[in-house]
Order: sequence, then C-alpha cells, then structure tokens
Amino acid sequence: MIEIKNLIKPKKIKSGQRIRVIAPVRSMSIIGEECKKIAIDRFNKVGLDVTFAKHVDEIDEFNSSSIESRIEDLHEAFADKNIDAIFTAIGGYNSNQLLQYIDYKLIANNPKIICGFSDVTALTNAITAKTGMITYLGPHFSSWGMKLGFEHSLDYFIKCCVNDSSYYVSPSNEWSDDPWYLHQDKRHFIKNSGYWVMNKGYAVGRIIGGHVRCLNSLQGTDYWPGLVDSILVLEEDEEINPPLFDRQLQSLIHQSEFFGVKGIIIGRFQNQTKMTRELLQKIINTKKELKDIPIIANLDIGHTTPQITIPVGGSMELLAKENDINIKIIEH
Amino acid sequence: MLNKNERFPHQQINLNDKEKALSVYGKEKFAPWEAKQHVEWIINNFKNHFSSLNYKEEPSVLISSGVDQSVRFIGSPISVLKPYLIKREIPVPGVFIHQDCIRTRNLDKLLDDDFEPMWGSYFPDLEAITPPERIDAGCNEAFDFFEKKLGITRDNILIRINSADKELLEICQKRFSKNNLEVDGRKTEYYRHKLGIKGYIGKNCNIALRNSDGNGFSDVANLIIIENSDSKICLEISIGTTTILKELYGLDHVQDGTPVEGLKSVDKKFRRKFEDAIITSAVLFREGLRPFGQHNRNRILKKYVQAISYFRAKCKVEIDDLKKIIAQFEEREFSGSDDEVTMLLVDFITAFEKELKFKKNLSQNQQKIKQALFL
Repeated sequence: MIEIKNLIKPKKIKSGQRIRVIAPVRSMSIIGEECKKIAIDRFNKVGLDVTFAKHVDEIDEFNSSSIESRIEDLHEAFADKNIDAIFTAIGGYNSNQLLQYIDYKLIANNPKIICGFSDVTALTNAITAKTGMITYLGPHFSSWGMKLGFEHSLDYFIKCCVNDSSYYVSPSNEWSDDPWYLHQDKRHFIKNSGYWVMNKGYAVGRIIGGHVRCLNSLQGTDYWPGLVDSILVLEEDEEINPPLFDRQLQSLIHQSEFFGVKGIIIGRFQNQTKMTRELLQKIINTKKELKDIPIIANLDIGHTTPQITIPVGGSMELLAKENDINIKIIEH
Repeated sequence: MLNKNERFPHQQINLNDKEKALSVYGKEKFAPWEAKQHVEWIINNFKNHFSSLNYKEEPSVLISSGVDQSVRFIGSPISVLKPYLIKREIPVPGVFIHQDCIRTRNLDKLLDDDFEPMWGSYFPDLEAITPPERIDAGCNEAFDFFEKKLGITRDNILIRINSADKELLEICQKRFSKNNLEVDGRKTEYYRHKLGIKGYIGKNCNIALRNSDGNGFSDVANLIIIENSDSKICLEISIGTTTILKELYGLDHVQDGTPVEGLKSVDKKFRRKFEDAIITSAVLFREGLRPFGQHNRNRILKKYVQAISYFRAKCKVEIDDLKKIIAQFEEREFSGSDDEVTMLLVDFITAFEKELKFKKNLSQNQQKIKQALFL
C-alpha cells in the first residue's frame, strides 16, 4: 500500500515575487517570440518578475534537452531562495526521464509552487508522491502567452495559487480548441454546455492525476501517487481517441488500489479525439468498478481553452446530481 | 486490610476553607488564555535545568513523523531518543528533549457515552536520558528539577517504588524520608515499562505530586532504568507538563493545560472527549497529516475528525460556533503561526458529514455518528 506522506503546502504567490521558467519537457526555444512576450507581460501585470533557467533554450533532436540540463535547472529553481514559484515552459513527452534523478529532499525542504500540465503530469504527481508537496496542474509559461481567452484560466490560477480559501469550480461560459499559438487573433469560441454528470454521487478525496497516459506511465514505479481515498482527475490531448481512452481507463481500474478511488472528474476532450458524451457514457457503463463512483466530465481541465488549475495532492469535494453539481477545491 | 489512607498516612492533609480556594501549593486555577504560558514555564525550567547540567538538547520531531516505526504517533519522547539507546552512545552527561506526543488510548472509546477519559490524547512531554554510570546522579537531577526549579517542597512529593528495584530504592532512600516513599503500593506491572525495542525493558519508580486538594498523590514523572539481558542501557527521566500543572494549579482536568474554550457548558459526559477530538485533529492537521489513505495514522485522524461531528451533534454545537471554538484554540495554542488549519478542518468535518449521507456500508461508529447528526 502506498503511504501518503504528510502534506506540504507551498506558499502562495504574492505580487512582487519572482518566478522561474524551466523546460523539463520540450525546450522553450520552440515557443514563438510573440507568445513569450505576451506571457512575460501578463506575469508582470500580476506583479511577478519572470526569470529563466540556464538551459531553458537548449534544444536537441527531440525538441528537448539533456537530462542533466533539465535536472540542474529544476534543482536550481527549487534551491534558489530568490525564486518563489516555478512554471514549466511547455509540455511534450519525456518528463518521466527525470524522475530517478530528482533530489526530492531538496524539493521537500524548499517547497514552492510548480505549475504545468500535459506531460508535466508525470513530474508533478511524482513530486507529490515522493514529498507530499502539493503540485499544480495548470497553465504552462507558454499558456500565459495566449492573447485571447485566458481570463477564466487566470481567475482559477489566482483562486488556486494566490488565494488561501477553498473555492467552487464553475464551468466557463465558452471554450475553444483552436491552435491559438499559430493564430493568436483568429480564435473560435464555443458556448459551454456545462458539466456532464456521468455517474451520480458524492465524494471527498485527495486529488491525483492529470494527463491519463502520463499518469499511467507511473504505474508500478516509486513515483506512483497512490489511489486510496483519491479523486482522480483525468484529461487527454488530441492524440487520444475513445478506444484508446477506454484502454487507459481500464488500466487504471486494474490497479490494486483502484477500490480507493472515491470520484473521478474528466477534462474536456479535444475535437479531434471524436469523444462524445454518449461514447464516454458507454465506456464508463462497461466498467462495473465505476458503478458507485460519482463521475463528472467536460470540465475546463487540460488541452482546451480555458484551463483551470488543479492542486495535485490537495483535496476536493464533489457532488454529482442531475441538477445539482458542486465541485469544491478544499485544500490547495 | 488497611485502606489506602491508613497505609500511607502522608497522603492526607487538612485544608481550611480559605485554603480550599487555592491548591495545596498556594496557587489558583489559571484562565484558559494563560495556560500556554504555564506550560512554557515548565518546559523552559526543564530546559534550563538540564542545559545548565550540560545535557545536550535533542530537537523535537513531528508527532506523525514516523521516525519510530514501532508506533503510529510519537507517544513518548523516548521514540526520538531510541537511536542513542540502540547504538548505546549516550553523550555524557546526557540528552534532553521537549516533545509533543499523542497517545490514542481514548480513541476506541470516544463514542462510548459512558467513558470519561482521565487524559487527553495530546500532551507536551519532557524527557532526559543519562548513561548507566550516572543513574544515581540522573535521579537526583530529576528530583532537583522538582524541588529546586519548580519549588515543590518535599512533603508534597511521593516516590512510588518497588522494593525489588534495589538500585532505585537505595537512591530514593538516600534522598527522601520514609514518608516520601510508597514501597510496593502497586502491582509489579506498574513498575515495569515496555519500550518497543526488542530485548529492552524498563524498571521504573514514579514521582507523584500531592493532589491539589491535599488528598492523595498523582503520578507526574517516571524514572526508568532501561536494560537488556546483558546490562543497563540508561536512566530515562520522563516528566509530564500538564499533569504537573493540574496538581500545582488545581485544574479540573489535564486537558486544561491545553484548553479548548467554549465547551464548558456542554453535557459533561461529552466535554472532555469533544475537546480531545478537536485538539488531536487540529494538532495533526497542522503537521500536514490528512484523513486520507489506508495507513493507520491517517485512519486514526479520520476517526478523531468524525468524532467531532458526533460530539457537535450530541452537544448541539452549530458549525459556525465550532469554527470559532477551533479557531480560538488554534490561535492561542499556536500563536504567531501563519498556517492555520481551522477552516480546512471544518471543511473536512462538513465534507465527511455529507459523505455519511451518501456512503453505503457504514461502520458501526459511522452509523452512530450519522444517527446523531441526522435523526
């Protein structure tokens, strides 16, 4: 049985503080200059000074950089007393290469907010598992470079990483799934139909998860965050499709600790995945283990815009009724 | 068979009416908001005493740190000092520690309405160890703490000791008169100590202080010779802070050393258990322990948190009032700290209450809490 470590809550971000951008997955050099400028300006507007890790622009044939460089930058960001929070530049495929080289004691002794999503799921869940520190699935540095439609994401980042009190998560008014990084001014926003109650019920638990395949890459390792008393947060990107999602979900169900999952929330699927509410319901209905677990889907989590920030290792309460849906982040 | 007072005549003292308002130590009960400073007075005296004797101070650890795998929580400072015993490398003259502790002996009976606990689960504790060649000196240093540092006169001290423990008996006989010694007044097990280290046992005498009303004595400290089959390992000096304060100041209960205000008027049979559940939950939450997971520590915390719901239902304490009560406790007990857990704890209490409404297969205790809350 995975032992849940005592929780370490990083200090919230305050205006006037300094952040560090690291690139533990792909290099920052793949991000456009306009995007970087918008991101820096936006951080500055909320009172945060942006600094960059030494190897953040290093790039190799995988659009990433050496393990040594990425580890050095990660450790330096945690060790530097002048840095108050850490943002990942962008996602990709290989943050799990770092896990065995991380000095988790250094992190536990210097707790600070680390925020990112997608492939960073492996990094954040591993850090939470090994240290007990809350980590944050939320906008990358590059996401802050989105010209239009970032307001809802920023609101929830502030609720989670700036403010102290618990808060309810409400659906955005509209969402988007366009390649904003290519055409910053040509955005197509769609009216949000709201949350999907897939299974009714109530649960309170410890938040675990993020990008499903990245989470599942931790199965059977020392970096697995454990599932007992958990609320699983699941999201995917455009590479997934309904049968592949089914496979990933089934893989989670086969974990010996799955009996301890108290509830599941699922982020909005990208258009290209062809996932529909009906297909998702069908996938869920085929799994007897999910019968008594409240499940809510179509949240603003993951690869569509906007995206809320989720505290991995924090706690969440969810109530799923037909006309009464409450998602409350208790501890973050 | 003589009754206890006849066997131990020194246990009786007569007080006049004026004196009854004060403890036999001439002190009156302190207000809840003064409790912390009184606990700190004992702790600081202890630290000063053993520092001045050149003992080394060992830093305290989190109660839920798991540094001693043989226990769920640090229930005695010896858990932290065990490495010195196991390696048999106790620096001369010794080591001392102030360590907050939790003993969960009340937990299984928390929801038993007929059970009235004598102790709270949480207590600040003090301990010193000294190598075996200093057993005599160590015992006298402990006695000095009570007599010289706390100013407790010898007629208010009783040593409870077993005649079979000759070394301890001789040390005590050298220092105290017969009136201060209660020899073989208890069963043998009372003078024997378990340590959670294989092959190690403890033989103890207890230091008791005269009860605040003058009648009888209550244990406040142990002097324990720890040994294995080969040799003596050390002398352990273990001193309770709130047990001392209870007698010195005539407190109604040891928990009044770490008081929870606002529950004085609730049904007496729930009050101390209600306070205990609040104190223990708040202390463990502050350490970062959460009521999640299958490990014993987390499960025990969940039981304390859920017990709060039972008591608030039985005592008709609304959630907003409970919030104030916990906040006041936290503010007073941990003043100056930024990391308050009151709101979080209340969020968990209410979330678990909602969970009871929806959850199937409730345990017996959970059913009892649900009935108290919703029926």
